[in-house]
Amino acid sequence: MGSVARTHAMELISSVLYGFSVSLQPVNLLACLIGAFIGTLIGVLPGIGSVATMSILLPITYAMSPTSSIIMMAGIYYGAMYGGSTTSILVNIPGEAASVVTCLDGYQMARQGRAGPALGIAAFGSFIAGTFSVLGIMLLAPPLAKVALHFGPPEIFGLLVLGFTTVTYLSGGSKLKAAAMAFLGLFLGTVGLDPIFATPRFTYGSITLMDGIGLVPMIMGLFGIAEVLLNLERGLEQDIFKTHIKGLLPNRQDWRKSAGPIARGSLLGFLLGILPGMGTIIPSFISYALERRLSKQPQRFGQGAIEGVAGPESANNAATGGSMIPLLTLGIPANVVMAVLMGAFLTHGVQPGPLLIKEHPEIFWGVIASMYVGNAILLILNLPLIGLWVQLLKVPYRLLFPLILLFCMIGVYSVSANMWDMLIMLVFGIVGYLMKKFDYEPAPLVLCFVLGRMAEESIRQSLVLSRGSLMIFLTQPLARAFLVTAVVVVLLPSVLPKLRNLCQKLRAPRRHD
Amino acid sequence: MGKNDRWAAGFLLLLGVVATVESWRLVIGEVGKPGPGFFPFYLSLGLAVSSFALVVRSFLGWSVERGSSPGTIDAKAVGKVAWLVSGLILYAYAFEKIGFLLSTFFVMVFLLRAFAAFDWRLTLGGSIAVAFLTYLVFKVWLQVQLPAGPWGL
Repeated sequence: MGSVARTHAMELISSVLYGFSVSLQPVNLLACLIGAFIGTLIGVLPGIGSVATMSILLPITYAMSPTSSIIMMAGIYYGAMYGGSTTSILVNIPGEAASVVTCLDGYQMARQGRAGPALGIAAFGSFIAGTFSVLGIMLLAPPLAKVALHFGPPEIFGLLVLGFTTVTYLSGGSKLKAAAMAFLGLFLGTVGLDPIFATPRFTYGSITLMDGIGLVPMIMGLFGIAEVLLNLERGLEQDIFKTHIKGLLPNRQDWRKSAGPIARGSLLGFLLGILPGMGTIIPSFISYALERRLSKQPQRFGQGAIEGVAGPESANNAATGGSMIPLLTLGIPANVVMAVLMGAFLTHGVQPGPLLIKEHPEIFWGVIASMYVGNAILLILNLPLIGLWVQLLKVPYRLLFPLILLFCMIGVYSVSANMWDMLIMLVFGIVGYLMKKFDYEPAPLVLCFVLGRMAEESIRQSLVLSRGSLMIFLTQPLARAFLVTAVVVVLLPSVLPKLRNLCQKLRAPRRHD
Repeated sequence: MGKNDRWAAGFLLLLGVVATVESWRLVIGEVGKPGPGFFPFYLSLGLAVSSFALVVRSFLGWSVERGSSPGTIDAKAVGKVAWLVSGLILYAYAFEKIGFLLSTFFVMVFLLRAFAAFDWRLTLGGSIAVAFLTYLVFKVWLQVQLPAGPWGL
């Protein structure tokens, strides 16, 4: 038993070392640096998010190797998490949605002349959490991939249904609207040739639609173009930044207060990040609520408590690592950013999933190790370059938006040199703009769109295997477990308050006695 | 606000119904032998049912549930958005017809003048600079396949 464990440990260590040898190759190191730099840049700049940036840059990565391009894309994601905190703290504008909660105490600290320690603890907390999540991936991903290798069509379908359900139920706002978006996303995924009979579906003679609706035009439209349209409507004026920053290193008291929140935020963020649909926003809010509840002086929160910066910033960075696990091991993106990353995998002819670790170990271990290297790069980038990031905040949006639009148009054209992709992107731009206006979440639409084809193949294969019996989803233990969990996820929000009321009613007469 | 919500849900309902009919026209097959229309049929039915529930809810005045806050549609803003999108659609058409450099120059003039409110000198200078710089980055450096116009530009 001991020797088996030792062999596994040795295997893990050698794989990790192999990953570092890949990620430290000059070309991959450069890709990691560029990704982390661009990520921080767009994290700092409000009005353009990591999803839009990654999709704009996706066509550019065609010339790169799959490993370098995935390393760069991942760098943009966690770099944006780092950069987003800078604007939250300094100007009360979250550069990334995951940094919204950092505004509460980070900006108050900046107003009290403590912008330096706030930025410092955000960067150190992010680094520690990032490191923790990379270790978590290294330990969890290989065994999970081994389990996933035994999944057949019913298990895959059950898992996808669970994913669709959590994405729908965890999205903010109306659950019914999210469900409608999930159905729409799944339906849009069926446009193109039927995966089994190759019959054209909903193409209406269009050659472009034969290949299905492209992920890149859809994402660039929903997240890039729509964001510009909304910003233009809000107006192009912005405040000029006037804060002075001195002393970025937190003092001993700051560290004492932040150690617990960083540790809890790292663990919480990592575990929550694994769940489909969780993203990075919810973990940061839960971490903030947790720290406030655990604090002996909860009234300090919102007034410049450093714990309110340390916890959520650690949680959102750990969640970025956690969300890589379902993609790398199951081939299922946990959030929209992971869906874009999946697009990057697929455009390079690499299928993420349980076989990735065996077929492309250089990508699997190289990307994981690069995340650690990237976290170190970000710590070095973020602290000394704070002055540069602050200067960037002064770039007027009216200068940025024409370039964002232009890059979207050229970027989407370069995918397949097809003018129709530009028009499809613009259609999704308008759809995204209207969705925001009418409070419909784009995340369920995109995630269900990406996974739609896999869901269709798995349900049809399952039904053929079972000769038309739907019981196959209940007789297979794992498939049944996934589906039961999905039902629980749907019912829990409505059942839980009723159960609580019932408990209170049952307790009430006893108190009278 | 409720009215806007109703329009959006109504549009989705229409889309759901049309998609259900179109899926029906493809072969649905049997449960044991699903055809090309099988999966889209049930999905579009799901879309139709959920958007029908949204329409009903909006009529009953339950459109704004917790955490949901549909925005207002301002005619002026819609006009601005429509103007911008029309310009970009024209750019998409011109892209292959008159080539990358010329079409990019024109779209930049449109964006910088009409939306960023730059003066003519900055607009023209900026548009020429952006067209050439993006050409250098995408065509020369990244070797992206970009269309040349009738004059080879």
